Amino acid sequence: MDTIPSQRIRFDDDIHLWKRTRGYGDLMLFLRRLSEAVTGVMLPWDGPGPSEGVHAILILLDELDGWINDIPPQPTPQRFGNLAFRAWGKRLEEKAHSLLNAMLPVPLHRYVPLLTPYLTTAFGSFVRMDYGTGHETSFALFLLCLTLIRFLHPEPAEEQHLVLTVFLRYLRLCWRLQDVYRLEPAGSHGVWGLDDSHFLPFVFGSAQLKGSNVSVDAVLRPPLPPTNLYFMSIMRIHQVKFGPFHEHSSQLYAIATGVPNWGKVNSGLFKMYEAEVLGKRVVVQHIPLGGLLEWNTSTHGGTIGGTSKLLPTDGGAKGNSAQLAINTE
Amino acid sequence: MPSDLDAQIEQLARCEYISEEQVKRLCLKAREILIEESNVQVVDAPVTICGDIHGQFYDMMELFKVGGTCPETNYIFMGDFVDRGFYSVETFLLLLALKVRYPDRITLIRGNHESRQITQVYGFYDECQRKYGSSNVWRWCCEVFDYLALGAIVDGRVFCVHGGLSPALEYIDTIRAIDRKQEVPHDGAMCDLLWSDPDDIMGWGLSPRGAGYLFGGDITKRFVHDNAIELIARAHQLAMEGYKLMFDQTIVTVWSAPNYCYRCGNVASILELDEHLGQEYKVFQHAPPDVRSVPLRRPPADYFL
Repeated sequence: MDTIPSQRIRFDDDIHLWKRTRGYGDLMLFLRRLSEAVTGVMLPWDGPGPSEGVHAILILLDELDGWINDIPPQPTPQRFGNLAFRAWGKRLEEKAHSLLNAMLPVPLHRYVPLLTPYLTTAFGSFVRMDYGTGHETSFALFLLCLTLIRFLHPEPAEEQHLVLTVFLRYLRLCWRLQDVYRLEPAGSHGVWGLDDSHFLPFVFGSAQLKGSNVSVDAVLRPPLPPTNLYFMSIMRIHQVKFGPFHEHSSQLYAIATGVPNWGKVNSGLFKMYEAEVLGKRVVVQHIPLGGLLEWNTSTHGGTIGGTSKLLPTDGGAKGNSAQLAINTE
Repeated sequence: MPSDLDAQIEQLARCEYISEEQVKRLCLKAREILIEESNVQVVDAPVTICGDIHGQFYDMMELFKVGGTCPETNYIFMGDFVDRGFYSVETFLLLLALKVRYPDRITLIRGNHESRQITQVYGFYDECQRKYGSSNVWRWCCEVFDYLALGAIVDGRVFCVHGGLSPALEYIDTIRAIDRKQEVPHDGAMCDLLWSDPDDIMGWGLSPRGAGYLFGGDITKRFVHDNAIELIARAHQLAMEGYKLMFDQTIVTVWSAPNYCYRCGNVASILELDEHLGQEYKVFQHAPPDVRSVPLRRPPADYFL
């Protein structure tokens, strides 16, 4: 369990292995919990104040954001992405350990080496100067690992904060990095994918919209209010893309015109995420696995309903009986 | 029969895809021609060298406006014809039809996207399914991909390849020994040629792409010197200005997909070599919106049923 996370997926066949691991099961369970926690919850949101854990992550993200001011883009002519992003990335790689030490209480410091690989791969590739859904998945894994060690808690109020406060903060940071350093879309599926760079905000946002009286095709009538992550991501697309929406975002257009309700959008996006992001070697080959994210095959199928160790023992999840916790032996 | 092919070229040039039966015959004819080509196809100047297209059909039409139509202009396309864009089918089939019609006027070399594995992730497979209702066209095109040359050499002086260099290949001649008629391997010389990138390092580096290598200026200059060439032309990486010269102009990235992913705001370029191998870069923007047709309205993916 204490092995440092590393890239484990090298061949297409490894995907089958990956999908049967406890770590994979934990991730899917975690994302479903987050999605359930924000179902029907729109912004601005009048929930309870953030926990210490959430607050500490926000401080971390604010610090990373501040570095952009310290490291402005370089004026030299470059191929595409700005080389200053490498300097930002170098600072992250050098400081990740100390940042996490500062964020975590002393008893959890021993987990820092198992967490840094996720933090350092959550903001893009510093070599290629790009950002894609694989990096976003790294951040989700970062939050998952923090939950596994109980720095964050698998309770609905905390999970709401993880989406509506933490993940949203992360998203804005990524957008800023993409704009300031002109990051390339990493491995974009172009018109055949959901979005060049992001996937989870559409998953969480569609959960937010579930049960609301907002019709699915409202997406086609911008401007959209920033009440949920789906709308905010659509508005982001309008900000950065040129051309007709049905052309550059044809999947999102097809969803807007063809899916009857947000519940089906949300469930469809989960399937799509498992197939197109987690199920594609070209994406997950770069993601560090193992460590807290158990690589061994789950003896209970690794999916919801199995006894994954991720859930609280009080069974506080909404309709979910699986567990999310690490083996502390 | 030239007139059949001419009709198909005309149809494809209007961005209308041809029938499945026509695709089958076109692919068979293409393979007959490509099988005779060398791994490093010998090409005479003058010729215009182009980079990634990625299914951006209307932008390829802009390319032909700027560079001239084939066969009046000779072309080398350095791979990545498919994936990501809306019109990979029309793009690739037009280039293939031009190749069959004017085999000595256009050279197509293989990019890392001309692969079964990659096209199943990045869109070409999906597009074929949408447009033809089956995977036949995809399969036949992938078979053609297996026959594409790995590189080209213009007047013995300008070496063209999609990605870059390989630690396993000191000399261009060594490339000729490769058995190229296969799916792009996960590693090795053939993989490296389609996946590697030049970078500001010394020597070789691990590629962040997970295939191929990074190679520095020292490697590049040594290759250029040892092979008695003057330039390596390659594609594979986005360039804001359409092209990017590196390492004292011994290597250039030529990128031919303007406003990549509708967001990058980049221009595209082509490299024109005249009969004396004089170089001229021509830059062009994405096609104006009014020349595009309305794309196929399609139902949402099966995930949402």
